[in-house]
Amino acid sequence: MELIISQILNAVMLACTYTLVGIGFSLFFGAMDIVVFCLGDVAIAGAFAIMALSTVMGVYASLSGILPAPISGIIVVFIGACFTAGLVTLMYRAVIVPFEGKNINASLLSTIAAGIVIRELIGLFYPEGRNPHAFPQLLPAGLIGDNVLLSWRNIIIIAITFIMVMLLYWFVNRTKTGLSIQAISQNKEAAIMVGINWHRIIVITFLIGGFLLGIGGFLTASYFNSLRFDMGAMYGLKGFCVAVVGGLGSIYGAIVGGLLIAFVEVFVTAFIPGGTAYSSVAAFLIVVLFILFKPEGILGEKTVEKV
Amino acid sequence: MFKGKPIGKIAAGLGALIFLLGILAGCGGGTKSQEAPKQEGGSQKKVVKIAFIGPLTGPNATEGVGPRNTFELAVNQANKSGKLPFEIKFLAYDDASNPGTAASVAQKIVAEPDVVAASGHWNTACAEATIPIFKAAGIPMVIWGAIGPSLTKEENFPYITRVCPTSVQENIPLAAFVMDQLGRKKWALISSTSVYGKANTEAWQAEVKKRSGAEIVSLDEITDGSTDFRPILSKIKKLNVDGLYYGGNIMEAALIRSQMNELGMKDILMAGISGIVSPKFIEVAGQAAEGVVVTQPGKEPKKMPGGKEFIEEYQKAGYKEPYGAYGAYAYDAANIIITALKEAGTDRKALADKIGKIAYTGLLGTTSFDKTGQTTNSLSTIYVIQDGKFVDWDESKYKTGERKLPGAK
Repeated sequence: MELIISQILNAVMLACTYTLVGIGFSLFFGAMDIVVFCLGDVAIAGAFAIMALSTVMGVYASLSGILPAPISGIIVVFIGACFTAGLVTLMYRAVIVPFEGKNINASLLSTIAAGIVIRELIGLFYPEGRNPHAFPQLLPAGLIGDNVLLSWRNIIIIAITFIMVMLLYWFVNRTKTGLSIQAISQNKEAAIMVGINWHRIIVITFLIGGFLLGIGGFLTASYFNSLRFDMGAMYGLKGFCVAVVGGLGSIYGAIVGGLLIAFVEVFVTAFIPGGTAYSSVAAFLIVVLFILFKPEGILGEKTVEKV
Repeated sequence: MFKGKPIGKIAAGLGALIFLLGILAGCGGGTKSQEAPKQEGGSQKKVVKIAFIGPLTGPNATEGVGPRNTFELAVNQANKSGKLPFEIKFLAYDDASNPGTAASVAQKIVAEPDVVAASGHWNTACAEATIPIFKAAGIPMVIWGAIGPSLTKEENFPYITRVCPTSVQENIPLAAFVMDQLGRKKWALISSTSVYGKANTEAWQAEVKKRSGAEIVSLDEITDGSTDFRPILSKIKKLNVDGLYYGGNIMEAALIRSQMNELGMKDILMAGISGIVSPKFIEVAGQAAEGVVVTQPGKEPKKMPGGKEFIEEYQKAGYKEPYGAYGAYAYDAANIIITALKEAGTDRKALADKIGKIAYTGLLGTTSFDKTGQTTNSLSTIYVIQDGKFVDWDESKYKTGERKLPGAK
């Protein structure tokens, strides 16, 4: 029983690391009708930015001198997430805008290429960029009680993911800008006709999505205690799978999809003898099945014929 | 300069060096008149090229740059000795730990005129990609750092030889240490699905089978690049094992160790082969790295015969990077090629035959090759991580009993 509980917790944690990047895919697909494939790399770039602020550039250390540690941690993560938001918006300007209105595959390919560029730039220019790095521990590490399964870090990761999703929910459903995003995602032409500034809304969507990705990258790197320049490739792929399974364009779908993919991976590893090597295979198989038989995903409304 | 250093060792080292020079001198006759200035054409020294391949960039760059330097050092020393009937040109190529890159680099090398021999690879997969190329071109390759057991085969001899022990050879002293000396019998095994990982899995299974009472209670294969091992570890935790063996590379090993710590499995001994020996392992695993037992082929160069001179020469040459775990192997590989070149000349076939039959005494002791081209010299050392450093077991606080290994009774 304890084994099952610990495996469930492992799966929930893994789902948290997938969810935010999955939401990123959904958000951009909803707003733009294109899949931005460089999101995993963007998120990992955000984590690298946070690591740089904490170690190489010493911002965290100098902040900790004046402010209590948790607050300087929050500031560093906030700066890192803002950097990520800037980066993804730059990606939008650089690799998506030039292909607007052209063949949908063009922007798809250009975002894949952009992901490779980000990955390689980190590898080339971050000090010892191609080696694995220990990620600075900005989250408290202690256990809650004497139960090894519940550490403060895990609780905080779950809590931050939850808060981010709630904030996004509030933003999308309760603010004018959020409602405009929804309007554009439902019918772009009609939205433009009623006076919604399409370009402005798209940029805002990218800023918000990028901020979420930065937080997602930070949580993932914190959960694994480590960071490597090429982690983004697999992270992005899993995020895409999560979004497809949950339903591209649906924010809650990303949560459901994240849980489903994470549970499949963990339980294949834990309960199928010799299954470890095939856990990712099983996850991707689920995605293939969804694309074949339920392409709109669990909660989605649109079809994914464009991917 | 030698103040406070044991004179005996220095003398022994110098002796070895003189002996070496003697070998070189013995076959260098009749070359004195060839120092003519280059402008005179014809009479200038013939140039032969030796190629070095290793991961100079990419995830394992730290493993390749040191050996590149030591290899170059050996070539420069040989050229400087003035006793060669030709000048050796050193070429360094980068395989970036990528078999595809390795193969294209090997094609480039075999197309290069005057290349007589090559020495290559830290990654087994890269060596697998280039062996057929070198063999087809008839260029002898001495492997300096790839340890997959299948690389040296009878049909490739004498073109493919190897100066470092295979992963199988590495597992023998490690198994003897943890199973016989420490008495750990019940093992969980995690390996990478790569060729390297699979070879280690098989080697460890074979070692366990040899010992009555020893058993492997769980086996998990993971793909390189995975980051979440908690599901596997949660499962292993229930099995009350004496030790966890990991056969793979640094990043995954470090994550496994730090996640073990997180799940409250600090008291399970972790053991591994040289693939996980790197300061990066300690950096990423942090505190959790304490007490991990590893093996590494060879000895610390300073304890090798002639090692002091080697280290001094290396520093004098001004290399910034450490010579690394395989530095001594690359150095001996270079000297084996050079020695054979002196004796057999520049004909590739004759050179390959000569390398195959060599008995070369260098830093590693005496290296000679068996009928598959594998070195018969399997020198190794057990290390334990103590206070964030790899410490020779014989010098560690764990041996003296001052500290206890994870899970020690």
